[in-house]
Amino acid sequence: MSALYLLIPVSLLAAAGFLGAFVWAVKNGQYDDAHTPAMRMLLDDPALSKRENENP
Amino acid sequence: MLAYEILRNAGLEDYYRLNANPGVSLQSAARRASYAEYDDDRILCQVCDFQNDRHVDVTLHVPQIHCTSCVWLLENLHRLIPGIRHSQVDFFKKTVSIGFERSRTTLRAIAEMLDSLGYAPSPRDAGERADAVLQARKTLYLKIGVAGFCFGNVMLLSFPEYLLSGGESLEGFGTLFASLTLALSLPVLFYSASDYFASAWRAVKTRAINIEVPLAIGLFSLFARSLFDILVHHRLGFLDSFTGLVFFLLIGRLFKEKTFDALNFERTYESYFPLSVTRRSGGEERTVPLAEIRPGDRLRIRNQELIPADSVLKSVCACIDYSFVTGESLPQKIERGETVYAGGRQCGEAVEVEVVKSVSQSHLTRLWNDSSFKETKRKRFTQVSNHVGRLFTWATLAIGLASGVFWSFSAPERVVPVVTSVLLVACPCALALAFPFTFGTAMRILGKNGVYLKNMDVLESLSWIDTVVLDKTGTLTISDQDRADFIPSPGHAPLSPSEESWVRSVAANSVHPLSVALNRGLFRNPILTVRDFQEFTGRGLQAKVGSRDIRIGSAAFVSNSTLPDEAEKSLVYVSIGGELRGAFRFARALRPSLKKTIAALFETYRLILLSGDDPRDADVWARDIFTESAAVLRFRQSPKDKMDFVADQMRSGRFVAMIGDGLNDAGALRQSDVGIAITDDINAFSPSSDVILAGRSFPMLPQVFAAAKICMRVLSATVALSLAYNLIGLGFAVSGKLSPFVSAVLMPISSISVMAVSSFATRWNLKRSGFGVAKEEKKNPDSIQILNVASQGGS
Repeated sequence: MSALYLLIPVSLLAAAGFLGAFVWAVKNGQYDDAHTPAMRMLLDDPALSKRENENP
Repeated sequence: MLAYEILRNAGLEDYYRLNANPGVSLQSAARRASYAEYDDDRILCQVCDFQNDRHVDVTLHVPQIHCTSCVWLLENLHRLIPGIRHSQVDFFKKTVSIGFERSRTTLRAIAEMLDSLGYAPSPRDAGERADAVLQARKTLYLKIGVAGFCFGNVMLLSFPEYLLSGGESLEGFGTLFASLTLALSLPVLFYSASDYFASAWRAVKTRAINIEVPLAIGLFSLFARSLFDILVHHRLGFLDSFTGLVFFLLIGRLFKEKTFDALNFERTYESYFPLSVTRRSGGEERTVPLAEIRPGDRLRIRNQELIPADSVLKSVCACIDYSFVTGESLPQKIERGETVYAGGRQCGEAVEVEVVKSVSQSHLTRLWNDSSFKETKRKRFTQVSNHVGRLFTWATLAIGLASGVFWSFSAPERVVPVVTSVLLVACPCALALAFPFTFGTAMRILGKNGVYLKNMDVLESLSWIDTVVLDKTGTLTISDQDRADFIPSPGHAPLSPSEESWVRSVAANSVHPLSVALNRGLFRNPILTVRDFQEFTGRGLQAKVGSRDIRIGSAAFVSNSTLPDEAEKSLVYVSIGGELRGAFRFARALRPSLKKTIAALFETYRLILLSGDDPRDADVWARDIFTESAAVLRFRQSPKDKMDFVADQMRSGRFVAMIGDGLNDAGALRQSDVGIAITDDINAFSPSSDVILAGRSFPMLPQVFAAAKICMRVLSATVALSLAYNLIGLGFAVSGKLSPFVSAVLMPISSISVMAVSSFATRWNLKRSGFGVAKEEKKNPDSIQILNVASQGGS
């Protein structure tokens, strides 16, 4: 049972890592626009037949 | 080129497949408003995010974005304009970020293409404010994340002590868990909960006690008591309740903010006016930004351009559409030397004007810049939340004091635990959740039904209203759907459908406002081809349909004879085959269900009509629509008259709601307790209103007022519910039996039940009173439905 003295802080550290990832995501702007990606993922790309010089 | 052709040539006809009601009509001819200003480098700087000598990134505000196909089309812009490298839409902000290469295209070309497709970019409004809001939102996310993280872990660490039975003990782990929970609570105390402490401190300093004061007292007591228990008594403390409370409170706040995300009310007058105008000096013309215009400048105003400042007309004549300013959709003919006012739109050929007042001094913007606009509206009643906040603070302190005194006599060592228990359990946290969830739910449902509130306080203000003041033009009448009534000449029959068709066909070739109105009024009749079309400025139109000569215009032009002057300017005479048949008169259409709505409003409120028009049909209005003689009808009211009238009513103790539409109502809307702006085009509303009512939702007006009262009732019920929890907790606290376990059970139960009850009760009651609560159809996700701007060809 004394292993818990080590395990609990270690798991807290791991959880803190996830919190850090969340903080990074918010600061990086991942949550700035929560609506358009939901719409975007349902859209298809237009058919290729009429494509001219496509920009790289 | 028609917008449809543009899209088809680029292989993008899928646009129409994607959505039943896309923004771009198949019929709309490419409208080319002038985007000359976008050539100006200064303009580029205003909208630019990044530029170097090869590449430019700009962000344009496009209010027409309203559906999935808009997103699809705008993100496929690179297929329409070579030179665009990428484009990304932000649906909520209604912006599109475009990156393009300088060498292959220009900002002006992009703007013109967007306009042709029906997505005309408008000057970037409140860009900085959007960023500030975004920053605040990010901070809130972070606080919630931290609070949630700490809450979850603290709860886990508190469980072992709760699950002990009998003579067990945690032994060494107790210290570990206690110190970990303490460590985890510190970020919550200093970071996540900081706003509440700051707000409570401000409230105490200004002696305006609100609900955040007892909240802060409760939170602080929770933490202090736990600290004491952990350090001195080596017990667990109440930290799971503490972190949990902060977490729930922050979620309540997020809910509140997301509720009115969909509409940004902040606009200044600048967002209505063009970015720049053409100025003539010497012999040459230059495009200059608005801010540089001075009195004495000569400006060139082209077709469909807005006049930015009060000026005097220097050209022979002009045709100005003041619908933006007064709501009158029939344009006015202005002669040389007369004043034209800011906000008017020129229809017809380009004219020259000389500026008289600077932009900020013009009649219109002066009204807006009135000092009363700058301050937030003061409320003339005490809000419920402030009432409750005060009550709670004093009650908590009183009960704490009383129980402290009581226990000091019988068992002095229990004074501190009891008093701190009282303080922490009397925290009105469930109460603080009742407000955002009740009002927030109501606001969302109202939003889905075309009623947009500026913030939650407006709901409470609405429940106090007893007097309703209505504007006439544009509010009770729809300025877009002019009806063209034909008055036959004596002895002649009305026009047959084919004859109406001939008239329409001729009128369709002219862009004169009266022709356009005629075209719109006769929209049901098909358009035929005409021959030998001729337009005589200021007099009329002439053409041949088949072999028949059709003439439309003034009496003198049409009949080559003298007729008595028409009483109204808006009569358009028609002759067919040389024979005078009669004249068209344009009447404004009334809003659907107007009579029913007025009657319903009459049951509960005093109604007053204030109109800027002549008392043309005053008796019709009084008799047919405002059937009760108790209604007050006033005409020829100037914007200032309206504002003063509202102020008068308020001074005599009434709570006034003003319903208007145009900028000329701005003063009265601002002055009243609740200003409701009614609009058929969501993006052209007055900035001074508290509520925006979509034109189609006008019949729901009585229910909107009722909804406010419903919310107050639901609020009372949820307040009672949360009070019940407080009383139960108080029972435990005063008797000295409040343990962390009890608190840990009471806290989430009270919070969640209050959140659920307030949301569902509001939803159920509003649904019962007639509001639709179902999710909107795919084509209008969560945001406002923007009605298509009617194209020139027909509806």
